[in-house]
Amino acid sequence: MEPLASATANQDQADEALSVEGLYRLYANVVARWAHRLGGPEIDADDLVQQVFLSVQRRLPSLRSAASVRAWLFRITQNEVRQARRRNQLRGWLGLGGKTEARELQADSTPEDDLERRQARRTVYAVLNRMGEKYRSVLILFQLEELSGEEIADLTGLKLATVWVRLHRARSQFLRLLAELEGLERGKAP
Amino acid sequence: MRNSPAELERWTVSGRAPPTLEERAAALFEAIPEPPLLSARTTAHHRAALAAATRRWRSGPRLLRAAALAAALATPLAFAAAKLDLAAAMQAVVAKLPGVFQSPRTRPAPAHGQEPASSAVPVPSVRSEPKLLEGSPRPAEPAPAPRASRNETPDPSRSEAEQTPPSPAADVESAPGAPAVLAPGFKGLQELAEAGNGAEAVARLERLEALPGHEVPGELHLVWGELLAAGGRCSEAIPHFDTAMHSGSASSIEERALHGRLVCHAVLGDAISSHADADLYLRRFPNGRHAELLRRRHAH
Repeated sequence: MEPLASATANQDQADEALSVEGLYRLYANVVARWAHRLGGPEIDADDLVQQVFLSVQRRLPSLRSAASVRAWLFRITQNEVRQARRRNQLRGWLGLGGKTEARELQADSTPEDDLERRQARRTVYAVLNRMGEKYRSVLILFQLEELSGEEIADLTGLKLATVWVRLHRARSQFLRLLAELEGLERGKAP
Repeated sequence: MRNSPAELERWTVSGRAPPTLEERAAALFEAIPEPPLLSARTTAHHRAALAAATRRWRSGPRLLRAAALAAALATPLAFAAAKLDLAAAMQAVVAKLPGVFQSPRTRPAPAHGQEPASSAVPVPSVRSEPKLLEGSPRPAEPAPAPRASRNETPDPSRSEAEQTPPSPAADVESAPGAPAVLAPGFKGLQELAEAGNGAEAVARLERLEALPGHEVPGELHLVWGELLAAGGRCSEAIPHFDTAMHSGSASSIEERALHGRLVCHAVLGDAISSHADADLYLRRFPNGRHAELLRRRHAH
């Protein structure tokens, strides 16, 4: 291919990738995964993905380069999750009832396995939801998404040292809150 | 190192009994299922929502642009329809009163033998006195020119205030309760203005205002505003005209201040404020010095 034609083709690809349709095609499942992980069982991840891409559409002119698109999408997802959680909390306080956990059937699991997984997820998010946002998201990315410190730093825009400090504090906080929760549940048990 | 990466290994399940708190946490995290991929139905729903939003997004600015254009066109059309092109009207006023709104440098000199046009402001004029030779006798002071020429055909229906040629000094001196101590200061301002040094007169007024416990009376605010307007500083003049109008001074002061403000608004292109001031002027001073001209402009 001629250099000029090649450059034009590359530009077309870049333009396509930086359109909402292009970003949706490339990142919809990644965003869904983040939404699922960050939101927990009380947030409807499918709705959240739509909200994220509507927000992307509004903010697309502010995206400076294709290189930072992943981190940019993560920040938008994080904001949308935060807002959805606030809305859920408000609904809970107003007595309207928060959104209930969507039942996700796993093809290769027995009903007992399924129950155990749902129970584990509820417990983990019951603890995570009592943590501060900055600790919560770092711990989720490290422990659930199994990202390295460098990957978390790239995605969140934090310095690597900050990631480690937050992770250290997040783990201590998580263990303390988990112990408290287990103590409460033991106290409730007959 | 407390926060080193080596210390932060992921929690894992070792299978020992009883499990530690970290192992229980690891077991909980491991039990959480993988998030499912988006279904084809959900993806189609998202794409439709995004397409609808794109259509709204693209048509939005077009509607806004159309509304802005309509508003921009409607304003001059409304003025033209009402025949209230006050900016043009005020330009005529400005042209009639060259002493007020032109700086001393740009003001045209009056033709020989012709009286300068009536002015609402003490017109600063530079008197060129012939230089005297040492020892030569000083010529006698010329008799003051009769001032009645401006009012050759006095209209008996007009009030005294309207017929009296504007003289800030007279206004200050005749203002009830005007402190006598200000009169010499005012005369000093007059001299400065007559010497074509309006800027120094303004500077003196600023110093006067800055004196602690010294309140500048409304009459001086009027002079201040007129000096600023004469220097082409209309936006600064308007607050002084406001103060003069609301100072409770004589009605002639209020009339001049209102007229000064009206013309300043017109000079600044604020047709709406100028129009409002013209209305107010005609209501307050139906027989005022500038009423006839303003009424003619309204009638057009």
